[in-house]
Amino acid sequence: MNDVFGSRKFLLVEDFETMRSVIRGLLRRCGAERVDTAASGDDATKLLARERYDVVLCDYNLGVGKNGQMLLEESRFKQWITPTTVWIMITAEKNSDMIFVAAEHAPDDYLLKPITEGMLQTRLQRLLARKAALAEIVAAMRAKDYARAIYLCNQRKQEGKHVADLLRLQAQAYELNGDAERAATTYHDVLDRADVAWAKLGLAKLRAQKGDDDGARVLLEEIVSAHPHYLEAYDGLAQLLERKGDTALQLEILQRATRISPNSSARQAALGSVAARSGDMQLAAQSFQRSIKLSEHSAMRTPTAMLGLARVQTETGAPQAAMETLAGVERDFADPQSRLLAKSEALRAHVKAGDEAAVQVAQQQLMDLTVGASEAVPADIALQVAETLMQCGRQNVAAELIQFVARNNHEDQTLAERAQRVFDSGGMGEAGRELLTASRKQAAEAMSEGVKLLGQGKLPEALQSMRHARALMPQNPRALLNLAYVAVVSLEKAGWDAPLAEEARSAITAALALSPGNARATELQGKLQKLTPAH
Amino acid sequence: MDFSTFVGAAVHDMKNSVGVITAYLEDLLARQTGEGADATLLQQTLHETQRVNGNLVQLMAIYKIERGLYPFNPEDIDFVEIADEVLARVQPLARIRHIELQAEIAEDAPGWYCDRELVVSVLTQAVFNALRYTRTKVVLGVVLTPEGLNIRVDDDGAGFPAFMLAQDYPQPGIDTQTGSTGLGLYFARQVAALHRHKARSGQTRIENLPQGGGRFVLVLP
Repeated sequence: MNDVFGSRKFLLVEDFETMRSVIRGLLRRCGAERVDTAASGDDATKLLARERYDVVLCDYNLGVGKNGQMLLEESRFKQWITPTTVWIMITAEKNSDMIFVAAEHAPDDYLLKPITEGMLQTRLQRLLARKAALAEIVAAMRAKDYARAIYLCNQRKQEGKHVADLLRLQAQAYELNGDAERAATTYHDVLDRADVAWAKLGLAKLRAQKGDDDGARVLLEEIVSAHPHYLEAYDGLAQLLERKGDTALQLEILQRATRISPNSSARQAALGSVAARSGDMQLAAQSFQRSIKLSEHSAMRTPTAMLGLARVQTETGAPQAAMETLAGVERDFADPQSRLLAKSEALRAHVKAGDEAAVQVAQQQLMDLTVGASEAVPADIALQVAETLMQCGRQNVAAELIQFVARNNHEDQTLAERAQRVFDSGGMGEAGRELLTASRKQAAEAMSEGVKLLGQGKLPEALQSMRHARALMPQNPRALLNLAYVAVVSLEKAGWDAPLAEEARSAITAALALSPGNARATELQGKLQKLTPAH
Repeated sequence: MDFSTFVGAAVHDMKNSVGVITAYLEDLLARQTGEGADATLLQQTLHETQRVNGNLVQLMAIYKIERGLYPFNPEDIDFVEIADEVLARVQPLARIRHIELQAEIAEDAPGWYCDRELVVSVLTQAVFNALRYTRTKVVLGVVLTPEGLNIRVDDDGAGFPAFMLAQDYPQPGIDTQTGSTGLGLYFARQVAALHRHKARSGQTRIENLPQGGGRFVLVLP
């Protein structure tokens, strides 16, 4: 037994010094030889980034700064720990925040204080055995080899151990493999044995995916009434009600959930958004502020709450405060999307403040960061920006941006419908419909013209036409790859031409950025590689 | 802040202290050589400390259950592991009292959905209780019956007195003769009631065995 623990590397994270030496003593008596300790989340971060641990014992409450949960999420995200690392959360008492985190963020187990030698030993042995038994399946899931994961689950279930874990993994694997029917059967198997919240939630999500929102709602309401502490069910219900547009009930559900657990940053932000939508600006501001505070030390933080708060501040007549909040976004988030959304909120604040010069500048920046961007902006973000422009009375600029999005995604009907709603919101319903139809038609024609010319063997004309198509929709992977294809064919027929090769290469790179792993892009990349003359 | 908030916070703090005391005692015990009088005294101190902890845990849990605040969390639990954990907690006391501990888990008693902390707490208290009244051994048994998973703690002592077997037991208040508060059984009943499957919910009962001795039963549907 001593060998089992003696060969492993342990990390103990505990802020309370007495407890730290007590638990370290327990680990020693259990046979652990290599035990590192950390007194705070920050200390632990440094150790985790540097060393590989087999077992992490971590107090949930770490005083100021990060708590145990944030440390776990960061460690998974940054891959400081592997699928075989056992993470045990230590706590003085069971609470909803800790027990009912979403499965992907859950620790392997939690230990309630006081921890005794016997309890630590049996629990550690069991967890190490479970991790070892499931490691191969988890690795297959990570490698997206779901067929193998399913096969392994079936095989291991015969042995009769860890059946619940295996069923859960198997249901997940079926889902990810696109086999909703078998995933549902697996959840039903679990529910036949006991009323288990995660299985019911899984079933509810499957129903919602099929478009059966009413059926999903029945299940979610059952979970909420039978397991009032299972917070994921409230989140699911809130999302469903948002789709239905039932803001009042969505607000009520999220308020109930935040009363049970006020410590989820994401849920507070969701509450803030719904509160703002239903006109309760005080609650909205309060929830966004809580959300910001809660994620202060988290590596997973997003700018959602700060952007939401800025909007509330603008709308309640405090554009200066909004600008300060947005300066915080610029300070804390370096990614282009966060900056774009911050600029977009800034436009609202400038309009509210009546600063026409600043409005002009912000409006131009928004166009530079979308239509003029060298990297693609996700269509839904671009539409959000367009909506802001629309609501700020910048109809012409907004229309230009929407047409750009529509050309780049001319095959996407759902997106066209959303774009139409943005036009509607700016009072441009009819004009918008015509603009949308025209830009989608223009894009589709540009796309097919090049293909037709290529079919007729008119290579130079096809190339010209594809260039035109790319200029119209620089963020459409198909337009980019069509251009690259014609360029590669020209290189094959007419011989090496460095500028043309560069044009093809840049189109392929842009397409891959939009659609990572795109098979056609990688194929063209290979062809181009072969054509490149050796130096 | 009302009084109950202070109680909650104080219990929480006391639990932390008890945890530290327990660990120190275990450490001292580990350094003892042989079975001397000091070791026995330490064992008894440790046992009393664990009793305090058990009571605090149960008080906290009841407080939360009754206010709908307990994060009830049934998981698929292997009862071989549960028995290991429970018996590991009571083993030191059993040793100094020369009481034999046995686990009898039926082959067909599978994993079962239950809240681990609550069930371990109920069973630990039941086994500690049995240790006080038994003569030679305590058996933790698990069998599958039509009413559900049947978990029993048997002793070979004098059995339960008649007043405890009565329907209305436990009543709040302390029994001066036995020192029993009835908290353990009250807690066990609350825990059983939380475990539901389809139309059935869990139960507890105490009974006397035909061959002598008492039996505590927890039924999980």
